[in-house]
Parts: sequence; structure tokens; C-alpha cells
Amino acid sequence: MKTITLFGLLSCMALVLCLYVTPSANAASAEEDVLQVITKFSKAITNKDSSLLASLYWQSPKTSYFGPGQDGAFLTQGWLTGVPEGADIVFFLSHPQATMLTDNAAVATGYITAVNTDPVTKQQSIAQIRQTLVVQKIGGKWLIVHEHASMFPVK
Amino acid sequence: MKTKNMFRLVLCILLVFSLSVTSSAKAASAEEEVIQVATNWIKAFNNRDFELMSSLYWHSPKLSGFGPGKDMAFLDQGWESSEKSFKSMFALPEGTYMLTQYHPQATMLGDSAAVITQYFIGVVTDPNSKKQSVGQIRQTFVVQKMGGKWLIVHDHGSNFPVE
Repeated sequence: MKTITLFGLLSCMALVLCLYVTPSANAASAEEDVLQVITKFSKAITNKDSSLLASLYWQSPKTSYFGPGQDGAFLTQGWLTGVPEGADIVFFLSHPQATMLTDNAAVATGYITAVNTDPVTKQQSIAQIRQTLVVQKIGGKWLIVHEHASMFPVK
Repeated sequence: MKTKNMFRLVLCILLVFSLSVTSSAKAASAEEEVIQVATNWIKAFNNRDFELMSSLYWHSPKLSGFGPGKDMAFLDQGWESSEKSFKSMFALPEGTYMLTQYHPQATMLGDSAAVITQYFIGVVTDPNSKKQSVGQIRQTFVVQKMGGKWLIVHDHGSNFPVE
């Protein structure tokens, strides 16, 4: 009888431990998934991988985007179809971080150093971008629903 | 029997209609509530109403934001930091910063999170020289419903790109 009680007690403790550990493990994994979105976003631009880039966006007219350049100055609505054409851009992402809002919504932020090489003159320029990605879990996948990218303010 | 069937059919139609109207009315109301956050933000900013401004933000170390000015270039984290910025801004003479809101729009991300986008035209008056300048700002607010209230959890304000 004593052995059975001890076994029962140990089982209960193991169950409590499992229940305690599971949500934080889930949260950590969700955060990692969200961080993957901003990492893949940077990689897709650098590798000119349009299909990877497209796979990161919510393909909906409700998707919206403020870009860092003059061509993205006003809110663009609808999902992005491809990587920027013409220029050779390499993105270096630093300090990516995720804030979970709900189980299905999160904000990812980071800094991007964009090295732009002119395809004709080969002249290089650097831009520093502040990146906000608002992501939502749709159909089991984290997708970008809003993006706000802006240059570092100079004044 | 025919009348009974007819009555049932009418009841079903009424039920379907009620359900469809209720959900869209709810969605409209949630969107309006979300837009109200942006409208109240402008009101708080222009009236230098710290209490109202404070009530719009998530008082958490997880609150984050990028501002349009050089002093807010890096990610600002936590309510305490935002509180400090607002208090020092609101200590400036009245009329130093005046903002006008344009095209606020909300995208609902489920029942308890949303994104607001809008434009601001800002008029800055130098307190000493009284010289004025105008700036155009693009604003994103990410809001979350906590304890029945929509609160700003992330904001990103940036100047209009010039090149």
C-alpha cells in the first residue's frame, strides 16, 4: 500500500513538472519560429530568393508595408511579389528580437545593414535600416502581415 | 403543416441574418475601438496630456518602439523609458509640437491584436526663435487587448524617406 501511494505521489509530481515545463517550451519555440521569419526575410533579400520571400508574407490585400526608400514611402497594400530588382543588395541582420502578443500574433524587430552594389559602376553604399515585422500564425505558419522599415534618423 | 414549415423557414432566415449582422457589427466596433487608440494618442500628444498618453500604453518592460527622431533611433524598450521621453517632451512650451493625423486604418489580427497605420504632419515651433518646420511621419502602432482595453505594445514612427 505504501509503495502504491509513493508511486502515485511520484506520478503526480512528474505530471506537475511536465505541465510546468511544457508551456515555456512552447513559448520558446514560438519565439524561435518568429525569429526565423526575420532571419529568413534577410536571407531571401540577400540571396534574391523571391519564392522564399513570397512564402514569408500573408498573401492578402490586407498585408501592408512602409518601405525605407522613397518608392515605399506611402503605405503599400497587398503582399510583396519579389525581391527588389536591379540592385545587388546584401542584408546583415543584427539584434533580432521577438515579442509574443498572443499565441498567434507577434512583433519581430531588428536592425539591418544593407550593402548595395551598383550593378554598372560597382560602387557600393551602405544603409542602416530599422525593421519591424508584425507576424501572425495563419494555417500553422508564421506570416508577415505588416512591415515597417525605416532608415536610421539623421536629425 | 405548411404554415408551420413556413414559420420555421422565416425563423431560420431571421436567425442567419441576426448572426451575420452581429459578427460584422462586432468587427466594425473592434476596428473603431482600435482606431480610437490612434485618435486618443494624437489628442494626448497635442494637449500634452500625460495621463491619457500613459493610459494608451502597455506598462511593461516588453513595450518597444522606434521613433522618428535621432534621439529615438534605436529600439526603445520598456514603459519607463517611454514615460521619460513623454514627460520631457510635454515639459516643452505649449505648441512646440503639433501633429495632425491622416488616414488611420486598422488591420485586425484576431480578436485581441491589431495593427494601426497612419500618417502625421508635424509642425515644430522652436521655443526660442519661434521658427517653424514641418515634417511628415509614417506611424505603425501594434495594439493588444489586455483586460478589456486596447493598449500599444509596439510603435514605429519614421520620417518620410527623401531619397
